[in-house]
Amino acid sequence: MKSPERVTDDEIQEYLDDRLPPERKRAVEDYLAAHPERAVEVKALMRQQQALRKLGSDILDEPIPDRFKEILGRLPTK
Amino acid sequence: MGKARGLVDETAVAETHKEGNSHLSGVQEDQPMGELLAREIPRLRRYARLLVRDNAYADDLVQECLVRAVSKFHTYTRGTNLRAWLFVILRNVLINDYNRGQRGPVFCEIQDSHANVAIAGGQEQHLLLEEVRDALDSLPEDHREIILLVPVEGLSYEEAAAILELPVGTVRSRLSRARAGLREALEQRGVAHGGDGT
Repeated sequence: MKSPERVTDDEIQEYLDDRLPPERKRAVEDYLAAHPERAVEVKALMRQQQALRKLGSDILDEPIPDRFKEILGRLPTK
Repeated sequence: MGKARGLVDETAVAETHKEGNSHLSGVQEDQPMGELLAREIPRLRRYARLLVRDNAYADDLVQECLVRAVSKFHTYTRGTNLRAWLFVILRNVLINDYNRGQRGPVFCEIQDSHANVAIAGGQEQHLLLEEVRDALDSLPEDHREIILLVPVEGLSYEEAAAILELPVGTVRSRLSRARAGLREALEQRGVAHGGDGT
């Protein structure tokens, strides 16, 4: 088994934000598999990230108040 | 705290993302402006509410943001990043209030009857999100804001950098510190958020 590539802290952050291309994502996962202490930290951050993604999602489902719609109605129609 | 509260030019920010590397650029050229704006309202409300923690004030901010957006809509270029454009306007409304001493300190110490973060999907998740929100509220305002822009709203580092008028490198480092701070705040609250299995 080849030893996992070095990954940077920036890449770990991008991993959390799901912004890595697949091959770098795999590199990060290999790296974490070989570094359990780091993996514990990243796992905690990942859970945190998942919770943050849901934060306030109920607000997105609320109906838009009429007073906001009224403002949009002032837009010139082209 | 942190940097001086300068206003950011929303047109410049929207232009920054003309090339649109993200999900934000799905603006149809021929869609009526009102519809495009309406589509962004829920996100503006969420951002404002999580930021100021006072639902009524948050909606006032959104309202003022929309009034400004409508009045200066001719300055918005179709195809540029509407969401970033609006977020900048919203922040500028907030910063103006702060500078005029109408609210202060802008982002913090409101902590009124803890805002309701109820969410569909079971009691356990509900509790967890309450804790996350509470821990988030305990962070310094610049950390809270970066968390709201990137992990919560899902903006790219580049978009957050444009909205906050910071270099991308600063966004990365601030985000990293904010994450670590949030984790610490959760641990202080005794939230089993570590990697101790499920």
